[in-house]
Amino acid sequence: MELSKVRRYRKRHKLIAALFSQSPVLIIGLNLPFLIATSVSLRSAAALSLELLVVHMGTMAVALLAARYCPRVVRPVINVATSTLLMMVARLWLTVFFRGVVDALGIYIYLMAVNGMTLTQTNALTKDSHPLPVLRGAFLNVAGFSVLMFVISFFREYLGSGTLWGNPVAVFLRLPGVLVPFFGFIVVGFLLAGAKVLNKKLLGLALRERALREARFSIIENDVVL
Amino acid sequence: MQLKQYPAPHIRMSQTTRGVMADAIAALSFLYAMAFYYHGPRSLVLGLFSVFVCLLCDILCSAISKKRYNLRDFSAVVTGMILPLMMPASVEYRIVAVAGIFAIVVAKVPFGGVGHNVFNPAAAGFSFAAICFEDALFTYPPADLKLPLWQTAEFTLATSPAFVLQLGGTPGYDSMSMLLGKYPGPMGATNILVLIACLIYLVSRGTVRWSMPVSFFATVAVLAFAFPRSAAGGLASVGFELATGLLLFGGIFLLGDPVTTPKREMSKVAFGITSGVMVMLFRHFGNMEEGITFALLLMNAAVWGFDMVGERIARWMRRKKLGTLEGEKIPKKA
Repeated sequence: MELSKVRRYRKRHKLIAALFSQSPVLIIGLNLPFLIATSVSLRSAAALSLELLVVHMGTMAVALLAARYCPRVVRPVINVATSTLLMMVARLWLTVFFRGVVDALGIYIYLMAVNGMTLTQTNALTKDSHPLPVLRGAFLNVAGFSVLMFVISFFREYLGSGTLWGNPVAVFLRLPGVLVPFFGFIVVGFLLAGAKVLNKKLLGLALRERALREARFSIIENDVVL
Repeated sequence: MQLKQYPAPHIRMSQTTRGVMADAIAALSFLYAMAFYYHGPRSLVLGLFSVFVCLLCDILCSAISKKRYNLRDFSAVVTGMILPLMMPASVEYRIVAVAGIFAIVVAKVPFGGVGHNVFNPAAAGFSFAAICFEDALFTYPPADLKLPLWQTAEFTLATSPAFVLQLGGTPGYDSMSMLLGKYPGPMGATNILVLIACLIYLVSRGTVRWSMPVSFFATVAVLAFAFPRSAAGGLASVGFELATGLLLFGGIFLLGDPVTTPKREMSKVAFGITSGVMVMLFRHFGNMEEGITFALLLMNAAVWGFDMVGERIARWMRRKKLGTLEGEKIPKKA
């Protein structure tokens, strides 16, 4: 009964762990500057998420090939060149849909070419890396970044500007202070605390599951002996 | 024998957290009495409301983190009492609530609560409110105007002498008005004589060590004399800098917080001097008329450095048998 509960719990939280509690953005702080400084409107969250999707997925795909066919020394150069090229393409594409937002984001649009998530994960690839799990993991990481961006942006845009997706909405009390970058740190800190609590809970359940399994095996062994 | 583990420092004193908080509450009560005299019952209701918000947040946070709330801990009451005193008497209740919630939920509880908070909760709460509601927090009602409990928009609000100083002007108030707090300003920070009495009371009770406020005020005075913001000259500038804004109030109630300040006496002096320099930098180059809370928050983040250096110097002095700078001499071996 306990094991079925554990399995149900883990199944339900598998996606949450991938998108939130095990996200490299929260766990090792990759792409944190974007999360803190630019998460002030939902439109910028959408623009940066789409840009990261193009840059990260594209660079990972090329890096997989580079890991297989190129010497180790030239791989970082290829990865950065690819991400820069993809960033420029993404920027042109985003300018059509989010013109004002792209202008407002300024340097952060260009910094996406050398974002921590892409650089770390592309350089960690080896010639034995399997494409499908790598690309699946990359997509989940981008999704995790997007979820966090949207959550923080929603909170900050609603309270700070009194708008949602640029449209004015009724807000009880406007707090322009939440638009200041330091508040981004505070929100990320709270999210990190939430992720830690969730991870602790999952770890506790996993340990209980292992203990139950061991107990069951020892009972079977005892029965056999008897 | 039962061994109990406690975090350092392992120094026991007769002074208790409850006693320190009770002293602070007693001192703050005098300021509320003056605020009541000048602005009527609204000032008291603001204080009660702020205390209620801070206590409620503290209790709720304890419940969420599954900790038993210590009813003998008055730290939330002190934070709640300090916050409205730094604001004008005409401030809206919701602004006080925002400051209180930020102080407890963001600046106090996540760092471990009483005795563990890195930043002064009241300073953090006020700073956040100042960023969010700059216009509401830096315009004040006239000194002796009795305010209604709920409506505040029926009278004209004025700027404080601190604002005049920021513009490079000279406040047009005589010395007696400045001492008695008969000018527009924060509810509890204008009564200079009462504040000095509070400082004497807290120092005599041992709640605040004399070294830090003295070094802080002396540094501010020296810098105000050397680099006057007022056209009236160096000496007048010293008086204006010390008497206006939140400087005196912050120097007593925010800087004197034993949790967010260094532990050793010489570190306290160094901390006071550096805080004075930082406050004057904020006053000279900051955008807001009041930068003491921001300066203190920055200094709070550097407390560990003061403690570390102070400890090393103290250890070196002990080794060299030079005394401890804490007033006691190391006895020589027979």
